Amino acid sequence: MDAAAVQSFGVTKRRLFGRLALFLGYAFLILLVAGFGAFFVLAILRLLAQSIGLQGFSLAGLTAQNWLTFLVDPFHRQSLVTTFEIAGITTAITLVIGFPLALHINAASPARRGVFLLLLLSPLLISVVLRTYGWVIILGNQGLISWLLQVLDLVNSPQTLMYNKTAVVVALTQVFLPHLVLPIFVSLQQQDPRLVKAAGTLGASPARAFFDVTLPLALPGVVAGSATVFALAAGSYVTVSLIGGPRVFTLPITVADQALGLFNWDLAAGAGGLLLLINIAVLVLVTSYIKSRQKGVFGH
Amino acid sequence: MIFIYLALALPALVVVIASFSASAYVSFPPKGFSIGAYVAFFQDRAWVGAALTSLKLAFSSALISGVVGSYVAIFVSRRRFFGLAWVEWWFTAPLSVPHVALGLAFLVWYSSLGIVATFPGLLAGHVILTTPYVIRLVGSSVAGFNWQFMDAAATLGASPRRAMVTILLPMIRSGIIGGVLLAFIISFDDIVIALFLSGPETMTLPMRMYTYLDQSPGVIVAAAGSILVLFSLLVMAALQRVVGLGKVFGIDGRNDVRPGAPLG
Repeated sequence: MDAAAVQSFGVTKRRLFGRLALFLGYAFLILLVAGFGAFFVLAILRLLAQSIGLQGFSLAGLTAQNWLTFLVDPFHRQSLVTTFEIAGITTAITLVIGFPLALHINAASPARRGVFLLLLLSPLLISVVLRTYGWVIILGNQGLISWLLQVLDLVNSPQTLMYNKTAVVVALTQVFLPHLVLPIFVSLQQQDPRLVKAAGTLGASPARAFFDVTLPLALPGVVAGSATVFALAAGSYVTVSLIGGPRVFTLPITVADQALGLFNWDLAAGAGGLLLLINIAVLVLVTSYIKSRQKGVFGH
Repeated sequence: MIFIYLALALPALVVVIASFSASAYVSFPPKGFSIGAYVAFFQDRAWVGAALTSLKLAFSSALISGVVGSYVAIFVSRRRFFGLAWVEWWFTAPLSVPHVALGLAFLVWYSSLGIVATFPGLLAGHVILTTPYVIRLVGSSVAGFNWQFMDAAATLGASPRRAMVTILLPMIRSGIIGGVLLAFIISFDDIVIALFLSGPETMTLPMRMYTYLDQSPGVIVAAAGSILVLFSLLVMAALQRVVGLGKVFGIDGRNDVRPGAPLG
């Protein structure tokens, strides 16, 4: 063999190996997609099938009962209402506390901003069980607040502040506050600080500059953050179950109670499907809102 | 404002303080000072077993979702053809499912597969739970990678594999390490998936804490919780060093605002 033939053989060989590697690369990806489908997508489909009484390929047991009961049955309807109530109030309160907090972090000097962000984000990595347990210790009958009230002579026996919706909302607000502050902070960061100055130069008062410039520009962050908190609060199980106790019923509580306590998977699947639907509806609404705004600003 | 930061840290702080109480049950103010709860924790085989199960689970799921997530993120950012956007969507879809619904879906489907209350079943659930976060972190790393470096390496005679190992992987290392750490802590902290998938043999630490909280929270639960806090703080410090917490939660200045939980 002459030199040219050897070289061309080398090139074909390398090309061949390249093809093979690419093929194996795709094959591995397809394997992963299939695996994820088998352990996740099929699970979700199975859940939805269970909720409408679909067994195998037979349509005999088809029913909408497990979904409709949340509109028809007074007890289950109440759990749906409570879910929206708790999620809505939590979102409103986190917004009232979170927006000023985002402004505060945004206005800080870069060095202090890092510290504030760290303080804000660090609770997110601590297990929800633990943060909820902290609230049990704070609100419980032998807890911090009960003790403080006794020290201040406002009450003369141990008081429990748990097992009601207010306590649930307080704990959820603390647990989800960072999820609201973050997107608002990002929106504030993306604003050109000269805009507010320009508004001032043109004669706007600081309040007017805030309401006409800062707030509208921060709106995508506000909407994204509120939606996240709403979805998380509506889907929260651990905090609602531990702080709310046996008297507060929401959809996630129904899911767990029916599935794990009463082994009524059909009804549990209905509640789970409803929860999934609420989550997706919130996400779709918000995503389309943010997209339409981006078009409005940049799409001319 | 200081008050708000305090309120954010308060619950975890209170658990740690309570864990050093000398009485068997948690009360405020703590009665005396003792490390008895920690001694009891490490002498109790069930608690230590739960901690070990959690560690094993978190290590395994971080490892698997680290490989799967990095592979998918790199593949999707390199190759562009019809359908790859769907691949990314496919792997990050678990982010938009509420955890209770996810847990129930796992329970129903995995019981047909016969893997409920087994370690592999729990692991599968946790890999599904953590992979999207790895994809997001590695994805944002790869997005900043200039693929012309790879072409340059090829021109200089490096094989694709060599270019991958010596150029691409080192340059996106922080994203991969960050993703693996985040996956670890999410798996280690998870309670809702474990609620549906763990059994007596596969009881995780948060799950065991939760079962006790429902009944009578003794001071040993506070000790278990403090150990959980310690772990979270260690991982957090590592994350802050490697990628910066801001990037973990999607704020590095370039990202658009988008809905969806930074952490479920």
